[in-house]
Amino acid sequence: MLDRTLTRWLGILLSAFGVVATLWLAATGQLTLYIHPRYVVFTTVMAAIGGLLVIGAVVLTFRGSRKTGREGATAALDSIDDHVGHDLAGHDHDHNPRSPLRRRLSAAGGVVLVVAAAIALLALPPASLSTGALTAGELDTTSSTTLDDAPNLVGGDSANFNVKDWAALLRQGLTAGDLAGMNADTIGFVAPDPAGDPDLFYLARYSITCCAVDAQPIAIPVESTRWADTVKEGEWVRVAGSFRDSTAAGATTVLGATSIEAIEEPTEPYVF
Amino acid sequence: MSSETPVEKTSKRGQRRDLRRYRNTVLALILGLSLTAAALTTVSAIRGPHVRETIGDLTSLVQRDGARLSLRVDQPLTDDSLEGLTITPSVPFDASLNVNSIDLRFTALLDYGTEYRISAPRLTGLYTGADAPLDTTVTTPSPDVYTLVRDSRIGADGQDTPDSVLRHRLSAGDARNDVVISAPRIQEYAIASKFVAAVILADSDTSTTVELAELDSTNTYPMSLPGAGSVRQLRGSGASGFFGFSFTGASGSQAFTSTLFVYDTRDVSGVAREITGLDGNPLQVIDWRFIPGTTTIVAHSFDGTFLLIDAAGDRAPAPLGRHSELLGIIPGTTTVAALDPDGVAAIDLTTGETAALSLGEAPADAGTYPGRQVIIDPSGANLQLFSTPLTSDPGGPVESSLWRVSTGGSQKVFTTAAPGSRIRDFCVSPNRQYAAVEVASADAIIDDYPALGGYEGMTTSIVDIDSGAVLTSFYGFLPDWCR
Amino acid sequence: MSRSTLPTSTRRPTHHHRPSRAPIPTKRLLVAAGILVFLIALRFATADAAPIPIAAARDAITLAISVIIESLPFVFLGIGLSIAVQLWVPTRVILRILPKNAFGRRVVLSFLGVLLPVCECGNLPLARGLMSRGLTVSDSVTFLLAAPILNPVTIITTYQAFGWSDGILVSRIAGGFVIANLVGWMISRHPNPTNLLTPDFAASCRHDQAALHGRRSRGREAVELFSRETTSMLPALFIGAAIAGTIQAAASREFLVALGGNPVWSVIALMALAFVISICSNVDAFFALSLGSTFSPGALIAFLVFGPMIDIKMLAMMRTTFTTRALVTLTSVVALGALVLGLGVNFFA
Repeated sequence: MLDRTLTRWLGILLSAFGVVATLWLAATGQLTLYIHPRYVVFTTVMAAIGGLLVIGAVVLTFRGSRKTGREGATAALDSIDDHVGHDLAGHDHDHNPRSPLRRRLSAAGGVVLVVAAAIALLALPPASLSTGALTAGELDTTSSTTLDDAPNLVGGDSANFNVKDWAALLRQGLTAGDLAGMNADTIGFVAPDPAGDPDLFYLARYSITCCAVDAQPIAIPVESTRWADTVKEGEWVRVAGSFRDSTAAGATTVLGATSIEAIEEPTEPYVF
Repeated sequence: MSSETPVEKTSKRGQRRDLRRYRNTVLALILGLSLTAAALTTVSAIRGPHVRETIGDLTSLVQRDGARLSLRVDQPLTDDSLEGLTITPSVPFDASLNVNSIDLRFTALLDYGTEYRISAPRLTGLYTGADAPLDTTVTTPSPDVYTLVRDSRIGADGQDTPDSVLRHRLSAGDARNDVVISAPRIQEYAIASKFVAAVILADSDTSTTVELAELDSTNTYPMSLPGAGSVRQLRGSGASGFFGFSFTGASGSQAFTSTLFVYDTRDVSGVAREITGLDGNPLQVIDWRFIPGTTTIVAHSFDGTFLLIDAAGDRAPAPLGRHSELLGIIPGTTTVAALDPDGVAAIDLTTGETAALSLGEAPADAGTYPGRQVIIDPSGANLQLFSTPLTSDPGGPVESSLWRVSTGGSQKVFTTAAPGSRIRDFCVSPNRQYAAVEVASADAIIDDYPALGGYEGMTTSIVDIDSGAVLTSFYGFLPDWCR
Repeated sequence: MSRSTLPTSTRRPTHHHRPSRAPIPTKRLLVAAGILVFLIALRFATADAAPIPIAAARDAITLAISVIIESLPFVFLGIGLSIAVQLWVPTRVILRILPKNAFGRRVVLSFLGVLLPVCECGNLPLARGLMSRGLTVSDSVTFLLAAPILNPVTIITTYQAFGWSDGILVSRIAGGFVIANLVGWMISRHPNPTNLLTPDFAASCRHDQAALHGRRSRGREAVELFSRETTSMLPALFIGAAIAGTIQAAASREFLVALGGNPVWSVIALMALAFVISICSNVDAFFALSLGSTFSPGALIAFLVFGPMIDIKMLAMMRTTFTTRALVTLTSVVALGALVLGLGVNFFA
């Protein structure tokens, strides 16, 4: 009986998990931990519609089953059951989807899926992507196209520039000379220099173009003598300073930090 | 539905035949696609790397020292691929290889409208091992140059013939001159982003208004000024779309005297905003400049201090010390040239450090009277104007000539073709390549404008500083390079 | 028409149920409401629970959830449209607007996605719906493969991501169209295309055609369809998202980047990635954009053409409709087509 109940209610149950999780994230303003802000309204509206469909499905299914009692409900739902009885187990063979073993297996798989989905969507606290060390390849933005569409920021209101804006400016080939008179004051997490320079770290954030699955680190180099004495790898910090040519070899432009303070993780950890 | 004919009518043999036909179709498709894929794989593997895309802002190549250009290659390259990399015409550059991109950094400004050929004998694919020569070109942009044509004649209708700002294309043989804004009497103008702003004289010549126009449309609208008064030293910031000017209120109206104002074309309010000095009061300026391409301002205040001001933000100005005169920003750099009693100082805005610049000596035969001097690069090389009287009459005709002067030697760049015609002023293109020289004929009459007086019928010649060749000439004067 | 070739029903006929106007069973509804309240309470109660201490596991879950939350609205949209088509668009309307000629019919169906901007997660129910309404298998497959690419949302997002650069948008549209019609043509050569469907789905087609215009209320039909489609699609979406999240968190990006420079392997690598991450076609251009710097345009195009047609999630869902054998053939042809397209773009562009 379990497999029948499960197949009958699996889709509705998973929909309900997704809807509750989405609407709760939307209500608490945390949807942007997972998706780009431009999808927030669409996602919320569709989740609400999905929620109505779920409620409608529950109510109408019960109402339809009332007349003929338990047996009638079973009969009425047989069409669903027949369609999806073996859907869970993708490896199921075509010819005899109704063998008892397979039904038990698919039921067990369904239970595991429901429990796992409930835990992931409803019982685990929302989390942003973990912060910390980034590899040299990830830090190299010279050929990243994520920054290609950056508008001409030179001379823009630098007070509101975030890491992505600065990275775009540096990537456009601007040198310390071009950035004269512009002071950076921005936040990000600490990623150590992959080459191990103790006086250099990268101020990084994840940039999201669609949803968290395409997160790309964006970082600007920050020069601060023995930074590890004040802040830890992966810690969120606010860095203020101005751009200058690196004192180390190689004429790269770095942010010379005048102040670095540890901060709480921001409510919107990604840049878009 | 034609192709899927009712199957029940087909015989069993027919069904088997149809099934065979389907299987053959599938096999043929898969085989055909596989062979095509294999063929493409082979030809791709033996073909060497080639440039897929050139990434970089070509405009910055002619505006800033140290601008970068990346050539994205279709595959990662071996380390020795950059051997023998050349650029013609020759220009100093650094090249580095970054997996599948060749990153070039130009240590000098490039010429306008020039095709640079970047070539290397052998790029080798890191994974394919195949090689191919690199041969690609980039063409630097030719900027638009603007001039002001003043026309004081009275037309047949009794009205003053309008003055116009003309736009020209900087290349020989392209004699385009579009009018971007016109008004009865234009004293000066400036270009920023896609806007032109013009200071327009009222009938009495005692007060001015400022009109804005989009460069590619005919719409004009007024800039809101702080009151009646006169606008001087109008300048544009370039791409960031700011205008700035010094404003003096008409007597008896408001208290502004040579106060610096900025106007943001992106600000919907359309109101010019005054800049405040270190003391929080409106800043009075003797002279001022935008750092090209930014919204940062260097101002020479009434009390003699130089200030670094962020026109877009609200950060407090940073003092840069006391100097007697603001000479300008050295092209391609963020270094300010300032005149001090003991010589010329170069203030590097990135470090705040000041260094003395030695400008070199012009030869004794350059001319009798030295005139304006414009520093063109960080070494102190400069252009200087000389004039030599042709007669003993003090008001008589002069010969004007322009010299390039540096510690390493000097050479004459330009002299007027007709004897007696004079050079009113000159300035240097943002890439140091050309001088724009304003020339008035010997008998030209001085116009009657209260500021920035010119002559009737002036032309502006674009002269290559290195060769002295005249690229082209335009009607009008006050080229935007001088603003 | 294919309908006539379907096997005889072995299923319990359901059309004799009378329309139900009975009162709602309070007890069961209370249980359902209780479950819902419990889910919401669970979410609020655990909001500040301790996070998983292992960063990689936490990230894998975050990434999987992001795929689910990103895709779920499009799934609901697709199911909604599918229900609307199945319940409110009479078969004859769809059949009437289609050309009689098989080739022309498939061409028109490839562009049906323009009217129904649903990504591939929502397309399968629609395709199933179309088959239930009597369209041939080859027609529906053409629609199924073409619609995720030839639809306005996908085209707009691709344009926003790439503009006209490298011909990515044009190649994606043209490639998607050609491959979908090629596969459609191939299937049309099958003497008995319903053999390509799983017996259960073939039976449900027959059943639906018999029952849809029975006396049951539209509302109940809609609810049944909703339960059925979510139950068949969501497990696949959830499992696909879990795999995508795990791979993203665990696989070495550096390795893929090293692959990305090779004109041949980059195409294969991105096709593999598209297969695994199962991202919606409506938004996959943005994902591809994040790889744009390291991968060749041909690889991106192969990613953008292959991913919407075939990926783990789609295969798991299509498994409910098509036989394994049919899917192997379909996947091979689509994969080879995308490979040729990608290699061709890399070589000639």
